[in-house]
Amino acid sequence: MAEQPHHPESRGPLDGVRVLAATQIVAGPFAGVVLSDLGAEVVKLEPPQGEGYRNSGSVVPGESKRFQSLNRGSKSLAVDLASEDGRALVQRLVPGFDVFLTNYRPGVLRRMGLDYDTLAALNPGLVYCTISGFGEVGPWAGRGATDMVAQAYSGLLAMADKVGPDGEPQQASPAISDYTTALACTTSICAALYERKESGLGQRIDGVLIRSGLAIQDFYVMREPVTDAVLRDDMVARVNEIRARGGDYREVTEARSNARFAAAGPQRLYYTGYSASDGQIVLGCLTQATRDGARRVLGMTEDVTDDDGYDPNDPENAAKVVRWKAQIADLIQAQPVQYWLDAFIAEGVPVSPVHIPEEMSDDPQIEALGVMVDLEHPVTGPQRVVGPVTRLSRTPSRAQGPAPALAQHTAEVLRAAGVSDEEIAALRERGVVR
Amino acid sequence: MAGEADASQAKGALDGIRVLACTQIVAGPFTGVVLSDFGAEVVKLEPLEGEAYRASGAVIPNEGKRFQSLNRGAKSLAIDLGTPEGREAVHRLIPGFDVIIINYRPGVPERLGLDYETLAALHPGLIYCSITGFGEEGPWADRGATDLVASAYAGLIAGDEKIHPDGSPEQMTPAISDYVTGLACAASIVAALYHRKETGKGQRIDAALLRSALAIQDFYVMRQDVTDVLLRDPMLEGVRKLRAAGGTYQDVLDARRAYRWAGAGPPRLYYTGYNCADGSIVLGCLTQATRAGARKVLGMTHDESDDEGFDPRLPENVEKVSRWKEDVAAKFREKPVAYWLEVFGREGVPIAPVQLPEELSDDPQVAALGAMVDFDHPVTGPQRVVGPITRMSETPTRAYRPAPALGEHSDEVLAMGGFSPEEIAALRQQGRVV
Repeated sequence: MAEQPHHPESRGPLDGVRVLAATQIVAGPFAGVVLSDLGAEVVKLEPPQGEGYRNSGSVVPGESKRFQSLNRGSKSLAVDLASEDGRALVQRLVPGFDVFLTNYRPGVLRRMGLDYDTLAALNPGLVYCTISGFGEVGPWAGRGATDMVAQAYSGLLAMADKVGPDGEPQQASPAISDYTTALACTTSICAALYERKESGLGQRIDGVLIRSGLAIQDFYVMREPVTDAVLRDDMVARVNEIRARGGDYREVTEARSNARFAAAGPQRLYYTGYSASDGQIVLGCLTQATRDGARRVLGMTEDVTDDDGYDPNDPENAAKVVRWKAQIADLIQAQPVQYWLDAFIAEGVPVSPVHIPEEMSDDPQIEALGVMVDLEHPVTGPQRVVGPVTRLSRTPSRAQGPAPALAQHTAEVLRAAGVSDEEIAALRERGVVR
Repeated sequence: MAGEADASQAKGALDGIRVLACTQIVAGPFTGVVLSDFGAEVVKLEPLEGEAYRASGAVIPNEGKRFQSLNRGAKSLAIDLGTPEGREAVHRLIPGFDVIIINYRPGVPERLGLDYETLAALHPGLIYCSITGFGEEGPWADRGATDLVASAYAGLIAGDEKIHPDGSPEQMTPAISDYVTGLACAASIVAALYHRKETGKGQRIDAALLRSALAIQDFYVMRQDVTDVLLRDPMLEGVRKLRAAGGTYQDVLDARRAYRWAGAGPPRLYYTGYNCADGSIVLGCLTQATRAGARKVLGMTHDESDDEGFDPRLPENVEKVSRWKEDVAAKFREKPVAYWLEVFGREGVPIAPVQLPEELSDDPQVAALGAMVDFDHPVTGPQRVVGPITRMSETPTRAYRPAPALGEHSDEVLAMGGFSPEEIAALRQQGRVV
């Protein structure tokens, strides 16, 4: 395991870039993980009591698994930003950083002296990236948002189409809006750094959870009147009728998925999950060639869903598809997972067992890719973390280290900015830094 | 609307960068969208009949909404790579590009003369980004994968816990592994460009759907011994026993859910969805302060789930929480969505209505962010597309153009690559180019 890059001497593409990260929960910290995997030095600015997420589901106080996973690779600098001295200290550090990354709320940033105007004045080359739920303008600007709220607003929750036992909307998991916003911000930060090589100037980047939510639902959100007249508009009208007469969430999502499945055509039989005798599999056929392979394996000779002129919207055909699906489900139920993997793989049909995420840390394919990395955490000991999002050949991406213990790097970071040991001791004495 | 049209004419951060996109379906094309929004020139290399996804859900032949949404901003170059002349023409174009993105099946790039060794020899500064389902090594390396297959393998499908009424696993929508991989590639490509500014050297980037899917489930996949002995290991042991005994998918999910809830800390009364009199909302409280706000609005003074010493794992507390949840659900049903948005908004409690993705194109907050962009497509006419993933202040992100008609830019791109009008005419005559 722990397949770190083959050339330990070569550096990541962002080697030398310094990121000050005033981040919390998921979106900001995950952007920090990705930047640090690309070679940047990420310094996490924490309050003296630590980021709140350090205690989310923690077994060891202040060292939750979630926090450790989402802050690996960074250093911890703990400063009390409620004190004037703390704010002055951070402002002294800002010229030494290339990027400021934050997902605090705008009001909080102003209060802490970490708003764009203040920091850009101190360092015109600074790339300043904010992450917020609803953005800086519009009727919802400035409202607090967490992943769940942004998912609901942007349509992702209804898109996920999960209805709870009491008919209530259920969260899609993991926190998709947070993760995609983090990746969007990472990309934008890299682009800004690239451009800065020529202009020497920084700029401001706004990452917004609902914006990213739309980006990954692009064609559902897009309007294209010719197509929409056939597929979208009737569905939206039906949903509005249901709501007007007080219909519940289940009715709304069913109206939407019926319309969606009618439009999706023949792939539903072979792009879906089935239960085998000792576990579950999915088929992932998106082409006629792979669907034909699946038909051969399953002996589905009478299935005509790929024939020319087949109309999936014909009610008779829809009834047939339901019958065929039940037939396939029975067939697959009769054999174990391994049998079906072998049979479908032999025909080149995309197939996979349905794993649970907790199994993946010891999976042979994951091991072969070197995705998991073994680290030693200063407080909690050995751990195995998910590694970088991609692999780069010349400037390897690399998990730089475990998440920091609270304030582990305060002295190091301050020294690098020219703060003397005496000053550090005095600051610590007064409770300005930890 | 059309937020972008009003943006300044300042150049994008990747202005001048040229990307050859040998892409299909979602992951590769989405990388192209993101790069083009930063100002890169993205040339989509298509077979003469067009990328197959052009026909997916198409009301107008070859101009499906999905394709148009996922290929906006690109130019289309249609060349027959099944012929030596076609491959030669592309090889002649390669030195004029900075980046190539490929998400063809394993083995196909080699057959088409688009493998890394061949192209890097033609152009050492080329950044070559390969996207596969299962990566370049390991027992699953050569297998075709689509989003559903990679998501099931990676644990995302089970992690999302969506289950069909017949008990089989259900797909997660949108195609999360594809989108996240698209973003991971965009970030890595820009990081490689940043590095190339100094060294002049290109490199190879390997992205795998499986790898990205793990990255967004990081703390579920992570191993941390001190926590895992308490929570994860017993759960996995239980799941193994269930499977061996022929337990259902629902049984497996239930076993995992109990584990997940045990680790989640304070119960989720205020981070979940509820039905109101005329629609649904979610609350998104992750802090004690916002939960206290929610309790105040709802009059839940008897809820002690945030009190010190309250152990959500005790059976009697599980019972209490489910009773409180019924109280909250009954409250919400009494009043309409607008009422709850108003009162929670006033208390600063994160809340949002549950909207359909199809409603967002006309949403006032989305309009305020300028997240939708109006275009006129050369074939299908007016359309409104989802805009860039972030906003940048000095080098604006911008949706530059709608998806191209097939071969719309073949002449332009070939001419730029040094092909004479006569050569282009001859290639077209021979049926190598559309």
